[in-house]
Amino acid sequence: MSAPHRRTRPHPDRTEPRRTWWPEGSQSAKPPTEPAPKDAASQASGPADRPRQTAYDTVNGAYQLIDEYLRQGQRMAESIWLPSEGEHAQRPEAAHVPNRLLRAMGDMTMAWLEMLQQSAPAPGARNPAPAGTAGPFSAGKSSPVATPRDSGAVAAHAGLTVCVQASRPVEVSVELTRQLEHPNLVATELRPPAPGAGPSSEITVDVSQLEASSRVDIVVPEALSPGSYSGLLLDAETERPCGTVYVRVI
Amino acid sequence: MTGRSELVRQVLDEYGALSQRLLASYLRQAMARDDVYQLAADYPLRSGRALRASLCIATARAFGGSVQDAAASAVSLELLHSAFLVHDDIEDESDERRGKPTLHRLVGVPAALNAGDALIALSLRPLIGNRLTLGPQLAWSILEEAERMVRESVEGQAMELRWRQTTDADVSERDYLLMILKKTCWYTTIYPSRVGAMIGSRGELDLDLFSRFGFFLGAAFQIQDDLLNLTGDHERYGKELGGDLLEGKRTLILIHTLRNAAPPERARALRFLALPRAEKPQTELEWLMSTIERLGSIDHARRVAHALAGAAAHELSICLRTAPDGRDKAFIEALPYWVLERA
Amino acid sequence: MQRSAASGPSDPPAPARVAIIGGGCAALAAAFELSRPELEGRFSVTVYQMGWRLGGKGASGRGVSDRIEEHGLHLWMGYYENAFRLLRECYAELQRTAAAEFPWRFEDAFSPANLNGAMDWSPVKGWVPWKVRFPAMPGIPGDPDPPRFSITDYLVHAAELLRTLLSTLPVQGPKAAQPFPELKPSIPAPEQLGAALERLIKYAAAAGLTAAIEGLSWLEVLLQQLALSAQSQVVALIDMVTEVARRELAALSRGDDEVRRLLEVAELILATIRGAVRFRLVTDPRGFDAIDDYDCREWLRLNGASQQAIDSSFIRALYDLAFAFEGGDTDRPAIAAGSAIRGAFRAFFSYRGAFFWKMNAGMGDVVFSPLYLLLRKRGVRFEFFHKLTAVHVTPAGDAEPHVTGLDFDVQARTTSGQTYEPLCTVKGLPCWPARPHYDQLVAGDALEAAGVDLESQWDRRLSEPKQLRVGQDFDLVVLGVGLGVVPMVCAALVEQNERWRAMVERVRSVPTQAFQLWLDRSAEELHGDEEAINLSGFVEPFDTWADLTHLGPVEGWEAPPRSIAYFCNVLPTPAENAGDGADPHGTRFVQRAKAEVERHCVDFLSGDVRHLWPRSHAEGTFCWSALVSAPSDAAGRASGPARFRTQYWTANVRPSDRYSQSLPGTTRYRISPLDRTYDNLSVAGDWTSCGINMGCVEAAVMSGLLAAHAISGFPALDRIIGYDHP
Repeated sequence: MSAPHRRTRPHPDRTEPRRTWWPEGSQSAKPPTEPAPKDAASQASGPADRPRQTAYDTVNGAYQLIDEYLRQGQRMAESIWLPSEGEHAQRPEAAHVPNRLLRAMGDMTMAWLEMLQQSAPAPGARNPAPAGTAGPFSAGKSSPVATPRDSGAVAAHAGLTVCVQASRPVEVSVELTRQLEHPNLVATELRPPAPGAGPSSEITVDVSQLEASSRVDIVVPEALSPGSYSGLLLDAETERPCGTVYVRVI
Repeated sequence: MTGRSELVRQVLDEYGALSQRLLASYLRQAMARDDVYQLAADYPLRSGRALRASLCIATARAFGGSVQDAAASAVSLELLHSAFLVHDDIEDESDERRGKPTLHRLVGVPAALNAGDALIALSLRPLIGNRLTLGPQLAWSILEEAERMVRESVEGQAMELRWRQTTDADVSERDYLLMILKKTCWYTTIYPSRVGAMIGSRGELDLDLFSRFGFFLGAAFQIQDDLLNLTGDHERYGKELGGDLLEGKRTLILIHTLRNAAPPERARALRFLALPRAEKPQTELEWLMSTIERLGSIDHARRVAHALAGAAAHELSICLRTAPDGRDKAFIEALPYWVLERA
Repeated sequence: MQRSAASGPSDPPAPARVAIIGGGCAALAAAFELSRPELEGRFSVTVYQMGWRLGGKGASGRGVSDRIEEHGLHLWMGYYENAFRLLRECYAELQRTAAAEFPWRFEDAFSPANLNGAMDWSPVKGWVPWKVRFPAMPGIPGDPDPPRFSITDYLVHAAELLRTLLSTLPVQGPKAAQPFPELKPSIPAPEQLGAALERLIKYAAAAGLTAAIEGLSWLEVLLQQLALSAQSQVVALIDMVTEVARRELAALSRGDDEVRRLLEVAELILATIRGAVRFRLVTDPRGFDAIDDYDCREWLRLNGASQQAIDSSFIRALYDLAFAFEGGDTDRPAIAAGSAIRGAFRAFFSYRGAFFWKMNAGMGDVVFSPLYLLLRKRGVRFEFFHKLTAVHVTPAGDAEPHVTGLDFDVQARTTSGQTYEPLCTVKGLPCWPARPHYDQLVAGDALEAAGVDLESQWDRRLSEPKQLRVGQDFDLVVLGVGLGVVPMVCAALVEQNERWRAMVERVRSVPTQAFQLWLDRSAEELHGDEEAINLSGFVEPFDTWADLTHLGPVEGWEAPPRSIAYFCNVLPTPAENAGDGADPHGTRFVQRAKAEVERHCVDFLSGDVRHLWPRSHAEGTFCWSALVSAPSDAAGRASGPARFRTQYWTANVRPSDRYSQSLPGTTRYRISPLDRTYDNLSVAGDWTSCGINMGCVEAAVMSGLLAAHAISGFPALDRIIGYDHP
């Protein structure tokens, strides 16, 4: 629909600012590349400026490339090869996979079939890229509850319900870092973060299992001194940490 | 600075020696079966840096795994790396590898090709063995990672070969980075750190963070390699100077030069690159190398390598945040700096 | 395969025609870049501006007695690197190529303003100004090598600032004498950090403020290292310092306002640092954007700031200066936390020269006159009296979406087809008049008599339509109109494009109100202080006041007034929509708004102003007779509140006059000038996604630079200071 020589804008190398350009821990004002040009105020950017421009652009391009690449991983795999499970397979129904492996890898034994029968969650369970609001409450896995005086409060989110009873202002954060299919969670004691400061914990944390989700009941006693208290949620079977509980008494 | 390089050298030596022992014992069993494995064993047993095996083992240990847990995967990777080297040397028509003649120069191309294939076959067995040491679930995942890694490497190599065949193809920096990601980074840095993290944490960690780290580190590593090819110290480097140009290999440096050269220079360079290796005159090679220097392509590539190493260091600070301090963690953290310092 | 931005549009040597719509900071920044001599005429630029003057929301005019009449209060901040650099380059080039046309140099145009403040409510004394003198920092904004910070650097600066503030506080009593027993210059090794921290925290109970100060120096170092495994320790440290500060200062602050304010600031700084650590801003790839869904106060509260700190004058001033009120309702303060904190950090820690800079004439005179003169010299064409009414694009689903046409109302034409000469001269300075030069216009008398509002998007009387077509009249477009105008002229884009639809729904603007007074009383006679000040955080309806007496000599008074004051504030969004039904040209709507603002002004002067100007009231009445009127003004003979009519006030309700806001949850809907959805269009304005997502001159200039980059590849993105920034 365009005339033969319709002028258009060039394609930009990127459309977003780089918000983490400076690696943390480096000196404050120095980029990883060479020092700033001396001519900033009075000269325009032009071909003379180009070496610095392209070094930055190359690395920015690298950032974009890897981000896109990771996003597309699954699709790229499919377009060129047999359907791949990609980074985070939904394992059980992949009937075609062992056949391919058999062909490609040669001599197979019953051990592979045995592996198929394991119904385990994907390794390297993926934390989604930052989305939604940041915070200890990220990725929609937990909910912040700041309770007003004299009331219990309930907050619910997929897979997790948090109920707080407190007679003074508290701030509660419960974070689940691994979703389990059949959760059976247990909470450790809540302790202040300063090491060696002793157990807190007249704060009680009870975890019970509802159908497909867990419920965490937190009761904060009246006489507790202000401060932060935190603890872990463990998977009762494997004792592996699955999340954190954080209570701040104001 | 030197403290870091020292640490890296020490760890590479230690894990390198360890992998060598494992490789040797593994190969001995194979060599008893057929002579082809004798040939195949040549490259793995020449001394090399064992960077990939070391990264795999160190990452595993940093997250609480043991050397035994990671050993098989590390060995498998070194065998695969040797397979790629054998084939690369044939494709590049190189004469030297690690101070000795290349395999195909020693025994001819067909036998060398077959030895490379044998190495690929050899590299799979240890992964199957993981089933017993790591359990079927983790072994399965590592096997999937290996499949992905091999596939990416092959595709990356294919991209590069296409460029060499059509020498006037307009290759951009982004194309180059994608090719490096697939061809080099996957098996040099991404796979070892992903698998190491997987082993050490028993599958708990988000592996995409390691992909990012691995990409930046591997890219910095490759660009530094390309820089050394043109400017490095021949004896320590282990390959011929200017060899990449003779092969017509598209490096970041060459891409920059072709983009910034005046049209007649560009045409002259392309003509040079199109010639078969044996017919490339030395004088033209020298002209091209000085043009590269003059157009600032060396400086540009240095800056980019530096920045990518910085990006790798940044990603590491995120990846490794749950790993307790220790020698292995320090080794990995030192890698972005070492990549730039090595000659 | 991607074409690099630096290569630009390809082969034909004829210049690409760029239509820049709008004449504010954003549009003219784009014009400035695209017309640079270094680009060797690759672009032929035409600026389309409605009405008779450039400037957009920054426009000013010269009214009776050639007094400066501004759209609102314009103070430039010391971190506006791009805006200052552009203006300084403009002045320098104008000096070199056309010195005769503009008599001022940059140094004549801008002066540092170091005394600022916020109105504070003291339980002891009532409303008292909290005056702060910000130290002068080296350099001038726009100099090379601007400071560049990561979030960690900002946090370290904040901790350092707080430590300095606390150290200056005289600590009384026996605790003052006890030094911290293990005063070490550096933090212990990580393994020992836990134990050392424990000791410090225990000691704090006894040593009080000294320990808090020591703790802050530890915090600075820890933040620099910020091994994230130490996160909980950092939070513990902050908690300790907060605890001590509150306890110690709460007692002291009951009688002492200085200490109370310090406590409030301390809490805010600590809450910010704590929040940055807890929310992992230091490593989040989105930087401060990660918390843009929170309101700033809400976020501070989540991170431990007390209610008192959140209600402090400091925070109130921040919200006032950003007109951060949803719907203009001062009971609904709202601003995106990330953008606000980024802005605050930049304002406090990266300013050069002075915190604020004052202009020594109207903004139109000091910014838009030199820009206009220089751009014209460079060959940019200006089409005044051209008001955009619609942007036409290819139909939905087209393979190459682009702008196909632009519709304008031509509001007036010049007699005999001459170029319109927009300026007038006041005391040798080229200025913009408050009304157009009707004598240059065809049927100018009729236009004047009809009272057509040439700066209102709604008023279409006596105009003729004009259509521009792509390929014929223009090739590329920079849309630099105000946010309020966008939904009205971009209906086609909004209809077919999801992102444009979301953008006009979510990204909001708000009307403002302002007035200016000229008085024959001096500062001392009004409020007792000799030095000029800018204050904010006061009550509604006028919470921001600036003393601009220094402008008197450039105006046309026989004797300059002894005080000049500017006030401004947000205006609640009126319920009715102008421009339909009974009031199609919005004239009654605008009049009603103006009358309402007049009432606000009179009420304010009759009442609350006495907190700012204690001496302006005698026997309960404001000193109306002190208001200076132009000799020709009939209203000057009135007395009492009717005399207010001699002053200047404005209700900024017209669509392009509305101020762009940064409400929580909205910044992600902004569209970037770099966005290439339509391949010959770039947007520009402080409402776009331009790095600093706030309504201010710097954001507008950055967006203009981004638009120029989008069109031409220059300037390089890393030349836009602060674009790549956490």
